[in-house]
Amino acid sequence: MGMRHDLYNLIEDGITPEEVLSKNTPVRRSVEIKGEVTKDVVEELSKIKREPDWMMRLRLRSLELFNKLPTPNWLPNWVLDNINLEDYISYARPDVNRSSNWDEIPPEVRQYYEALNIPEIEARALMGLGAQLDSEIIYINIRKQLAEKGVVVLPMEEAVQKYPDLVKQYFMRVFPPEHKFAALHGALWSGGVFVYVPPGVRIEAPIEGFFLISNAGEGQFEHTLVVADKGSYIHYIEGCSAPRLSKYSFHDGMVEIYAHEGAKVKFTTVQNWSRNVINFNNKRAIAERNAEVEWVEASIGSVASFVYPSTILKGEGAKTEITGITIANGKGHVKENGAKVIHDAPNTSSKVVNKSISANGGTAVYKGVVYVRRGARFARSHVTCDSLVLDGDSKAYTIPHDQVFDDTAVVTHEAYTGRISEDKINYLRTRGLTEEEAKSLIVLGFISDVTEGLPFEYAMVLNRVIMLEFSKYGKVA
Amino acid sequence: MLIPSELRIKARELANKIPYQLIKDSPTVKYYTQWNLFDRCIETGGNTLGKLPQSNDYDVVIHNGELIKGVELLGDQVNIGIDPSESRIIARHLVNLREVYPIVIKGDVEDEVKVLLSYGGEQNELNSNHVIINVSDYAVVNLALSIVGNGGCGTNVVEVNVGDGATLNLLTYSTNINPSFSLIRVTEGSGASVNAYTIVVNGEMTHHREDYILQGQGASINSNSLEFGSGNSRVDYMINIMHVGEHTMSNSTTRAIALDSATVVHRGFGRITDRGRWSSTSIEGKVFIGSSNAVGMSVPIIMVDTGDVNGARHSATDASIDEDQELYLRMRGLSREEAIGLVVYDMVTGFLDSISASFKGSVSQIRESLMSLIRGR
Amino acid sequence: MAELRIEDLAVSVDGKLIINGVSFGVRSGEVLALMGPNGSGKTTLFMTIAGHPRYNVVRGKVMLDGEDIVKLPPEERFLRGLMVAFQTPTVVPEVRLSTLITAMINKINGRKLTDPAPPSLVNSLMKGIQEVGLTPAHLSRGINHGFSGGEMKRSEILQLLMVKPKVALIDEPDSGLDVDGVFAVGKALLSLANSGTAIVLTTHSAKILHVVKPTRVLVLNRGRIAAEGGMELVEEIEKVGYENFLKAR
Repeated sequence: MGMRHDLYNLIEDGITPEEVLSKNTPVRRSVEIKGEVTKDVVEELSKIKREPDWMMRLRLRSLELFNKLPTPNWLPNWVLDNINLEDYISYARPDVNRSSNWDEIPPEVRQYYEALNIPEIEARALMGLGAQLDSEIIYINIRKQLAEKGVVVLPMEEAVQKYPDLVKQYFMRVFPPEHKFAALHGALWSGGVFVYVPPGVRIEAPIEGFFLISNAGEGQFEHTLVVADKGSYIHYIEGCSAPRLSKYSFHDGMVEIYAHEGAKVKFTTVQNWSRNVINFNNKRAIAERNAEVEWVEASIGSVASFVYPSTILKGEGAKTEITGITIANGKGHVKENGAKVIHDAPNTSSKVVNKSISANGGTAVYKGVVYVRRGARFARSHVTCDSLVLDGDSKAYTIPHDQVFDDTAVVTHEAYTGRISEDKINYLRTRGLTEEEAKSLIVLGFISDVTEGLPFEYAMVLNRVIMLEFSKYGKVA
Repeated sequence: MLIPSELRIKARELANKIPYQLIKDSPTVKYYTQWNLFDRCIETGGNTLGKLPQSNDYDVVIHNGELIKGVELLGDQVNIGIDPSESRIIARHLVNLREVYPIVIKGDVEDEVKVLLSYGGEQNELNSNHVIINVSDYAVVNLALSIVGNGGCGTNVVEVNVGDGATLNLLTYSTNINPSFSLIRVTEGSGASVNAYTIVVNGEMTHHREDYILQGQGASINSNSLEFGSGNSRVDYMINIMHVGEHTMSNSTTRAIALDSATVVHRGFGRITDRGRWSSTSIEGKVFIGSSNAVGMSVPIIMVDTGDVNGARHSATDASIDEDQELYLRMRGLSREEAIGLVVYDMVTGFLDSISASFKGSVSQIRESLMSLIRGR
Repeated sequence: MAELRIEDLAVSVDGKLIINGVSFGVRSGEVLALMGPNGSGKTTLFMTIAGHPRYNVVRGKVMLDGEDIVKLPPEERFLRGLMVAFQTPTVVPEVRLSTLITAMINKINGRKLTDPAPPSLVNSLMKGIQEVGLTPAHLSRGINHGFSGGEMKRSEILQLLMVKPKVALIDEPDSGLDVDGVFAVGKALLSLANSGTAIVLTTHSAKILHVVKPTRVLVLNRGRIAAEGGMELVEEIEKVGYENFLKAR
């Protein structure tokens, strides 16, 4: 209770998570790799990780593609200008021994997680937790009953060594290195969590992966792979945070999900990077027959973010739901939060709900694709985008593509962009709320689709963080 | 009016250099227009007049870049509002063109003013037409525009400047065979209002683009469009609405029909710029997919650059009749094919019936050719 | 003991004078019925007292417990104990009715807006919805979102019951309600008055007044008070109509 109250009160006092983290002392590193990403760098990384040959080859193939593929023209120039890989630390191993017991984590490292209540949330609401600091997982633990049922939750590196055949089947096969930053990820990946849920096993409480970047000028490339075997269920939560940094850091993670027949995977991300982080996350899922994949992407932090959770509905009757919440609050902030659905089999259905709020000169962008292959009979897809633009300097762009190659499909899209009406604010003011409180209450209601699906502890903190974003907004405006 | 030589030089320079279209979207998205089909088209420079169209029904006729009829409506020199740097196809258009015809419509006649842009030639010949129409301030004008391709490639550009307080009722009918590029760019002054009806029919690769630039305060556009693709047609219809003036308003509704192996694309783009405060835009599209080999695509985009917006809305649907409707109609004795035929018929006739009575003459001609397309099936 | 006193109030909207020199007072436990034909200024008066920024006070005072609140923003007035129930409430789909009620109570008690509702509030909410004729489902819908006209009225009254303000300005709580609805709302208002709230209430019909039994009746016409008295005024208006009633003054 104590810790929660600390964070709770800090946030109440107007201190953001990035500020909470900024009070901590930087962590020492035992290994750092910096400079141009060459074959030597990639080989060295692979050696440090004592990887099997196939993984080293996968890395080198990705590097080749990275060098070959064109620089994406769909990114703003200032973002590209700030991804000078030569200047970034592409691998940073913290000087910490991994443990499954928080008491064994040195206090100067533990304090980062404690400041954000992570150990406490773990104890109260999670079935398992993997915590990454910079390039390595430093803490990982799952409840005993899960281990007994055969659930595997491991740092990605360890899974590569212990279950090579299993990992090999999926690793970068769900999301091949098809664009430059996906390829870069393939070459430099480090850390992340591997989860395997055996057939029929339902994990009732979420498992979380939490990622921290502790230093400026750092690249983080964690790789998360969730394999849900037939008829299983898992809710995985991904959280990310960083202290306020002196210059840009770069996050280029990847999430691959494979939902086998009848499995259900819910994957929630609460992205709360500090304002110095440029965020990419390459996310794709494959859903087999009657499987369900639900993505929730809450894009709160970072200065620029490009995330398009995607699902390939590969088996008949597969379903997906992609919910996106985007907050673009600040001058020059560019937050792209999109969705892609490929209907590749009959009777598949998809639902995309995307909500964005832009304020103080921020730009929120939805980019989406719904593709229905010929022969994917009776596919159903509905996309809704709602954007709130809170002031004259802020922008909202909605760019969907619906491509339908089957005549039995029904694909619909609806979008609205507007502002909060004066009437609503006045009404709430007659109920005793200040303009600022009225706006934040409306914003919270606007995004409740996401917060309601989260464990209580999580939702509380998230609500506070968002309230804070907009109380600051109020003060600025 | 001859193309200014500096413009032509610039166009020549760019025609082989710049792309047809710049896509700044994710890597998943490909071109909706197959621009490579235009690569086989060869500029004629307007040297072949070929078979002349029937011109009795029209007030102005331009064929393969030459003014055949309507000299009395010609106006003074005007600025050309398109630039070769916009895209390769526009650069090629300007390279291929000798003359641009400025036309002034004062709005002193109630009848529709009928303008025909016609082109034709060998399969690989590219012919181009360009007309600039000025609608005088406070005029009320009914303008019927026909773009007719009789074979061969075509580029047709129509620039329309609508004066302050003017009302333009615009009926556009475009029917093509081989690759064609049409651009209709309408710029509206303060308080101007445009009611547009557009019908685009078939073509190996028809790229039909309409730009409405709501420049003046309080300008408005109300657009209704019908796209029709059958056989192996590929029709890419695109409407771009740019809100530049304050308190401007736009409404666009598109109904599209994809039959046989046709691909029909509806792209609608509404942008409220930071200067266009207190504006509203609404874009709605429905692509009806009437056959198992047909393809429908929708790209409805809204971009809002200011929080001082009255609202921006779009909706899009790509679908055929759904199971419930099909079942209902089958209980009324119709097969799925018949049901689809009814839907198509209703969509086409419903659209034609909704067109303002001022275009009675043109509509009856269009109706005839559309009905023969549908009945001939 | 709470008191609202309006002193020589004059109000303009968009440059047009709507209220021109109105004075009256109401105390804890009293019910003041404000009658008058359409357009006589009743809603304007309420919106002005509640602090709607569109209504411009030309002169006069709005005294709450001896303090002029005429310059205070609407939320401050609420916190000082003044609450309005709208004739046509605004729809706020994004915020649930239960969220709003909890937030109001939290704010009054100095807690954070989104703190969970205390059990006592949950209990009285459950009683309250029964009293006004709503269901728990209404609570979890957006404010007035998809509510019928009558449900909106009930929701407004429910909010009053939960907040128990010092002064309630209630604009036509009975319009759009059936006889049973009028009775239920009337009873609820009576209990509100008995618990110490000073009530000013507008209506066009005597039915609700027979239930709440106003202490005094004011008749407003063209922005001024045309008559003041007791229930006998209501009966006269019921009998002869506003036009004749006002002509006779």
